[in-house]
Formats: sequence, C-alpha cells, structure tokens
Amino acid sequence: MKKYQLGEFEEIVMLTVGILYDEAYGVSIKKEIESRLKRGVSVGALQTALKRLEDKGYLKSREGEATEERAGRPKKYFTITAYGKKAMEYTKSTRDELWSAIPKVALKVEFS
Amino acid sequence: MKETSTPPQFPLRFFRWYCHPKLRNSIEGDLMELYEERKNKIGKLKADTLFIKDVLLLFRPGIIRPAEGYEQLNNYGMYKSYFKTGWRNLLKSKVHAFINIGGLALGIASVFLMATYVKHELGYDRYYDQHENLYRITWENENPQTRTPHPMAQAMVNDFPEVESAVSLSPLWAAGLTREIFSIRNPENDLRFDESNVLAVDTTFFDVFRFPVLRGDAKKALRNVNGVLISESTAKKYFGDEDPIGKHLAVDTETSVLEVMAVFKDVPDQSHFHFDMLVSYVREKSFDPDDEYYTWADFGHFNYVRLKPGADPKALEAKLMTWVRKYINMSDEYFRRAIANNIGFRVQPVTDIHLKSHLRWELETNGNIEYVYIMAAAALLTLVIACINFMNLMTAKSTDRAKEIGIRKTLGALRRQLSFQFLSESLMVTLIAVVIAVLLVEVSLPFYNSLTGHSFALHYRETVPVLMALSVVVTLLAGIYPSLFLSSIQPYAVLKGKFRGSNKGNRLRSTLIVFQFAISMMLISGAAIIFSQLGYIQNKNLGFDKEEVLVIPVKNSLVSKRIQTLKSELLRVDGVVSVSASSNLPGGQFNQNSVSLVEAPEHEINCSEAFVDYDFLKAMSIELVEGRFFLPENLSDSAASFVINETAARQLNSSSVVGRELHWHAYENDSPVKGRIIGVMEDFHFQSFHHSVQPLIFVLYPAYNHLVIKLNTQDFENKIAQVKNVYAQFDNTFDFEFSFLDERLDQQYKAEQRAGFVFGIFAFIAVAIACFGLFGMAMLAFHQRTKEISIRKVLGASVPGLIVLLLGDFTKLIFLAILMAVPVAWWMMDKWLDNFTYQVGIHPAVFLVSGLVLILVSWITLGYLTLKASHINPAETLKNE
Repeated sequence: MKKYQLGEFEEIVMLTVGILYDEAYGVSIKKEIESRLKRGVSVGALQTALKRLEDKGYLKSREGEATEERAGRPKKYFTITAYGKKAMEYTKSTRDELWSAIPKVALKVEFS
Repeated sequence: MKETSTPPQFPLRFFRWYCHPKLRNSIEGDLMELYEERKNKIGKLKADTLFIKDVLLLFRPGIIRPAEGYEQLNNYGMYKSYFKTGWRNLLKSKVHAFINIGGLALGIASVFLMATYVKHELGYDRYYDQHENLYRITWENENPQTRTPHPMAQAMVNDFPEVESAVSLSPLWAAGLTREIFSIRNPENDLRFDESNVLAVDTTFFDVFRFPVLRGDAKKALRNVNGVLISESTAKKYFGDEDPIGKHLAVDTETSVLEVMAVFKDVPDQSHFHFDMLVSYVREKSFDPDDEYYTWADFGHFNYVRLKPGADPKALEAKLMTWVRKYINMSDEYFRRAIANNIGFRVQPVTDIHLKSHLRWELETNGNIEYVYIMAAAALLTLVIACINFMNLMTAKSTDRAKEIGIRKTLGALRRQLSFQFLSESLMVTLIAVVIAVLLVEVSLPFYNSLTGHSFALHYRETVPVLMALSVVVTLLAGIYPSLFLSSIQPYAVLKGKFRGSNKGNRLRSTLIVFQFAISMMLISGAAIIFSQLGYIQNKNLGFDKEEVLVIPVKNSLVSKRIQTLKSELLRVDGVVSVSASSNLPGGQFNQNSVSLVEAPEHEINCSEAFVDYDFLKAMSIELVEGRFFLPENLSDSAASFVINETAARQLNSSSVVGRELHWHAYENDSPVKGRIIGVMEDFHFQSFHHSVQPLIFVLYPAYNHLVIKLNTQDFENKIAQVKNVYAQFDNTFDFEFSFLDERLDQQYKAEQRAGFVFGIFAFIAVAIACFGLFGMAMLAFHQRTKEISIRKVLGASVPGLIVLLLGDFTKLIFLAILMAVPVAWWMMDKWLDNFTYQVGIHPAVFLVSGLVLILVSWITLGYLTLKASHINPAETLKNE
C-alpha cells in the first residue's frame, strides 16, 4: 500500500479542518489551533501547509463569501477529501499500532 | 461607521507582488481579517508590526509565485510524449534500432579517434610563446634543404628591423650526417647513458624559442664553453632529486667534462625537433675557430627567426636574396639565373614544418598533411554512411508511422512540431550512439595506440563539448530529411487508408544506397591499392640483399680505427658470412656534395656520399658493373679512389668513367678532393621508393657509424650473442645494440603502413555499416512485398526465380555503385601513388576483386532474408485477403 505522508503540523491542520467542518478557512484554522494547542501559528506556515495538503489531494477548497473586514477578499474554505480521510486514518492506525506494541513495563516510569 | 484604516501599504504591495496569484486573494483576505481584529484589540502599531511579520513569514516557497509565470505555458508533457513514442518505436523494431545505433556509434567512434589524431597532428609546435611569429629559414633550389649558413641568423637581426631575434642551431653530427651518439656519465655515481639528442645552439636560443627554463641562467650557460643545459627528465635520470645545477657530466672517454648550468622543461611530444641536452656554439667553435663550417660558405645550420608581431614574412623573404649578396659572393649571372628559377631563401612558418615540410635534412621525420586529410575523409565518410542508414530506415518506415502522424495532425499538431518530434527522436538515437561510441573509443584506444605508436587518451573535459557539438551535427545530418519527409504526410490520405510509400522516396533511398556502397567501394579499393603498393615495395628488388643483415651502431670512434681487427675477429664466428662498416646505410639520411670530372669542371652533379669499408659490396650483395671495388692490398685506394653508382656515372655524362679523375667538393673552400674512379656499382635503392635512385659516391675512409654483418644461419639468437661477446672486447663504453637491415628499411614506410592499416579498418567498418543498412532496408522491402511474393508463388514462381528477383534489385544498385566508385578511386589512388617514384601501377583487377568482394558480402548479408522471403507459405500470408 502506498504510504501516506503526513507531517506533524500537517496532521494538526488536517484534524483542525475536520473539527471546523464547514467553517475551515485560513483565520479560523489558525485561531482554532492557537486556542486548542496553545501555540502560535504564523500565517505563512499555515498557508504553506494548506497549499501542500491541497496539492497532495488531502484537502479541497472552495471560495466563499467576501466580507467587509476582509477588505472584499473571498474566504477560502477547506474540506477533507476521501483520500485525505484515508491518510488521516492511516496515520492514526500506525500510531495506535505503535502504541499497542509498547510493552506495558516500558511506560511504567518511576519517579524517584 | 469606523474609519477605514489600512495596513501599511508597502508590505502589502510586496506581498501582492510575490504571492502566487492563485493564493493571493484568499490569503490577503486572511491577513486583512487578522489585521482588523488585532487593530481593534491591541492597537494599530502592534497590528502593523504583526502584519509585517506575517508578510515576511509568508515569503516562502509554495507561496511565492513561480518566476516564469504560474500558468503552465510550456509543452514539457508533449516533449515527454515525443521521447516516449520514440523510445517505443526503438523497442518495437529492435533490429532497426540496433542498426541505427550501432552504425552511428561506430561512425562517431571513428570520427572521434580521427579527430584526436588530426588534433594531435595539427597541434605541433604551438607550445612556444607567440609561436605564430616563429619561422625557419630554408634554402630552395633544385634540391631544397633546411640548412643555411651560420652567420645568417645574427646578420638578419642586425639588418632587418622586423626580425626580433634569431638563432642558429645544429645537432651534433657524426660522419655522413648521422646523429652522433655520446656516452655521458655522472662521475659521482657512475650512471651512464647514451645520448643522441644533443644540439649546439646560439646564446639567443631561448629568445626565439621561448621555452621555460626551470633552474639556472640559460643565457649565462650558453655563453660558457663548458656549460651544458639539460632537460628536466635528463636531470632526473642522472641526478635523481638532487639539485643538478653545478654538477658535472663526463662525455665519452672522459676527454671533457661539462657543467650543468641550467635545466629546461622537457620538449613536448608535439614538436618538430627534440633535444635532451644543449651546448653552446661557443664550445663547438672553440675546437676549431677557423672552421669553414661557421662561415657563410657552409649551408649547414638550422636557422630560426622570431619576427616582430605583425611583420610580413613574405616581404622579408622577397628581400633576402638581394640582401645576402652583401655577404655571399654571387656573380651577376648566377643571381639573375637564381631569381629567374625561383631559387633563394624561404621563410617557413615553424607551425607548418611538421605537416608540410619535406626537405632535405629535416631534423626529424615529419608527418604528412595528405594523410591527415585522407584519414579525416575516411572517418567522415564512415559517419556519413551511418547517417544514411538512419535516413533510409526512418523514411522507409514511413508507412508504419503514417497513422501516428495522421492522428497527430488531425489532433492539431503543426508540421513544425512534427518535424521537431522526429528530430528529437534522432537526437535520442544519436545520444545513445554517442554514449556507446565513447565506450568503444575507451576500449579501442589502447589497441589504436599500440598500432599507431601514439599515446592518446580521452580527456573528458575537452571532449564533452566536442561530443555535444558532434551529436547536434549528426542529429541534423541524419534527422533533418526524415523529419521533413515524415511531417509532410497528409492525414487525409493516411486515414482513408490510401497512404503508400511514395516513388520519390524510394528513388532517393536507392540513390543513397548507391552512394553508401560507392563510398565503401572506394575505401576497399583504396585499401587494396595501398596494400599492394606496400607489398610491391617490400618485395621489389632493392639492388642489395636486406635479409639476414645485422646492423650494429658504432658509437665509439675508437672502434673505427681498429675496424680490421674487429672484422677478422667477427669472421671467426661461425655463420658470419662477411663483415663491413659504413657511415650511412640505406634508409637513412645521406650527406651530399657536388662532384665533377676533372676534365669537365663546369659540369657538377649533386652526389650523396658514404664512407665505406673494403667488404661493403660483399656484405650487402651489391653488384659491380665495371672496374673494381676498394682493395686492402692497393694502398692508394684509401687516399684517392672513388666508387660511384650507375646513376652518377650516367649523369657525369661519359660513356665510361672508370679510370677518370674526379673532383669531390667535400669541403667548400678547401680545394676539392681529387681522386680516380676505380669502379661503377649497380644502382641500388639507398633511399626509399618515394625517390628515384640518386647519384652516390663511396669513399674508403674509417669514419663508421654502422657495422654491417651478413649472417647465414638459423640460430640468430646464439650468433648475436657471440657477436656481442666479440664486439664487447672492442667497445666497453657503450651498451651493445643491434637491429636488422630489413626492419630498418621498413621504418621508411611506417607512415604508409599506418595509413594502409587505418584505411583498411575504416573500409571494413564502412562496409559493415553499409551492410547493416542494406539488411535493414531489405527487411522492410521484403516485408512490404510479402503479398507480391505470395501471389507470385501462387502463380507458380520457383524459389530460385524468386531469389534472383529479390537479390537482383539490390545487386543492380551495388553494381551501379561500383561503376561510379571506380573512376573516383582510380583518380585518387593515382594521386596517392604519385608520392612514390616506384609505383605498383593500378591494375583493373584490383577493382574487379574489390567489386566482387562487395557484391559477395552484400549477398551474404541478404542471403538469410532472401531465403526466408522466398520460402514463405502463401496460404499463411494471403489468408486474410
């Protein structure tokens, strides 16, 4: 099976797009990540990741309404494609597999 | 209503400029939205800063628009498809791909090897700084020569402002103008070597030949009587890694010791003369300051001049004859005659010497521009044959590709684009061929080097651009016609199923096949004639016996004096028939002077000369026509007797010359040597067959360079060992060396042998490639004629009848090619044979045999295909009709 390539940040973006469902566009995604993960996200990093994910076919976009606070610029909404969903599932399942493969004793960290 | 406050304009404009247009709107929206929000929350100033930060952080790949525009305006996809279809076509017909690529690879490899050779030959004497201003002064008369008087060099610098510097040089000669061999020893560690590349030069040598001097002061060294300059490798040979400056070298029998005063860089391979050691003319003159040799009277030195940049050598040349009367006493009549007959000094560019100069007394055997042309032409023709294969096969396959072309055209491909497609296919084939050619050259270079005596190597940094250029040329040469032809196919004809290979195309292909085979025929018959001439030379009666003659170089002058004792000792060795000695041997250079009968002093003839010993005629099996040869019992023979050859006797214009007195003008100003002609010997070829037999005079005088031993034995190894033992008792200074006379004589025809060999190889390659092509063409032709053959069979044609039919078409073409090639080859080979005075003559049989060979080879090539085609089962091939 072909390997899905999804970086850590890309995975976060994908998940956030999923969370926001129909409301995922640049600013909202940025805010969502910032509020949930307590980390700053630059517009540049986010837009690059979005573009890359769209190029890979994990996300698709549509143009939305233009509002005044956006100086008449349209929003670009993102939704997850079926392929993207597969990629996310693959990433999750590999994580789970790895987690389950860890022997219990290895995680019994004793604080002394 | 809130006032519209905008983010800082400059970053915004910068963002708009760099951002990918597809992303610009939405990202700008995001930025604006964020800006509004931040401004309201944390104030304009902070919002501005953050905005600038965001813009800067957006400046990254993926967001920045591509430099060449974001729409895909290129046709990469289309090019990819060209190569893909091209590749598939190659795979589809592997035989044709093999013929095309293999043929081109062979052709390119040959051109490549030849280019290396040509480059090497053309690159002579370009090593010196400003080599284009270097000239040699030569003397042109009925028997032109390289040597001119010694004072001339300095006189030219003094009298002509355009002559910047000049030098006189001279190799150190032994008797009869053979190079003297010195045994030179490092007295410190007793290392001893034989040296023969020793030149005497003027102090100005390094002004003319701007040659890197590595250590020491060359000028000072050349003023010193006991100074010697040695090359880098010679220094290494004698002194290892020690500093050679100030060390000593002892010459021969320790009579003189030289001091190393400068070291120069080794003379490069591509030079018309080489030297390992230089001594000063000051030294040479010190032995005999009044020697005529250093005056205007003796035309015995090599003079080179360096002209000022921009000076006209022709103008200088025109002035020389009038000018030289200042120094050389010349009667008005002689001067007028000389001018009328175009006799005089010539100013010869040094860079021309290696390929174009074939005068008397060249410092080394030169190359020949003709061979450069011949080789280059042979290699190029081979490549042309390969290109023709490509053209023929590509156009002959047009029926196969017609559908593709038709569809591409209906889908909107322009003719230009289709031509480009086919060109790119030929480029692909060429590139594959080039890669294979490089491998071929790498593999064959060692063989080539060992056969030709060169030491070529592939320098990739130099050759890659050449290869690129060659690929483009070959691509265009082979690909332009097919691409134009194929792209002209009309789609409506193809798609209606009406397309058929045109007659015009067939005729052109036939013409090209004829052309290919004509070239092959020329090369085969050329090689055949070269080989028959070589065979003729090797078997022609030389007038002496060259078999079983052992030649030992006499390096030690003491040997000459004890020659008679040495001879009698050697004769005791069983198997030694006779022993003699001479200054010169057939195949070498001979000194020349004029002779005249005492009774007719005005009738002088130029005569080559040699110092010989009593038994020379016997050892060489030369016949005597009249009179007698030198006899030991006749004491007067050593003082004043000559033996001359028939040509000399004839030119002296007398019915019988034996017993007459002769003047031999051996030393220009001293009175001539007077002597009696005691015998006339039969003409023998003491020079190569390039020349007719010249007058020759033998003098009995012990200045010998060669010991000649006639053997009659089966066991050469043993006899040579015995001879060595005897010889070592007489000369313990030098190493014992020997050669056989026939080998030495073969050396004279080395250039011809090389040419014949290379020509033969090219002929072979050319025929092979042409036959490949023939095979490919026949394959296509027979395939296209399957139905015709089937129907013929159904109607009762016999297999032999069909074979004749199928072979007949191609045989006709080859026959035509042979007919066309014969006159051209005849004419060219006739010109080549003009190089020889003694020619084998072109016999029509050569062409007959070459032609038959060509036809036979082509039949063998076609044999398999013909048999296959004539044995087809009509039921199989016609079942679909």
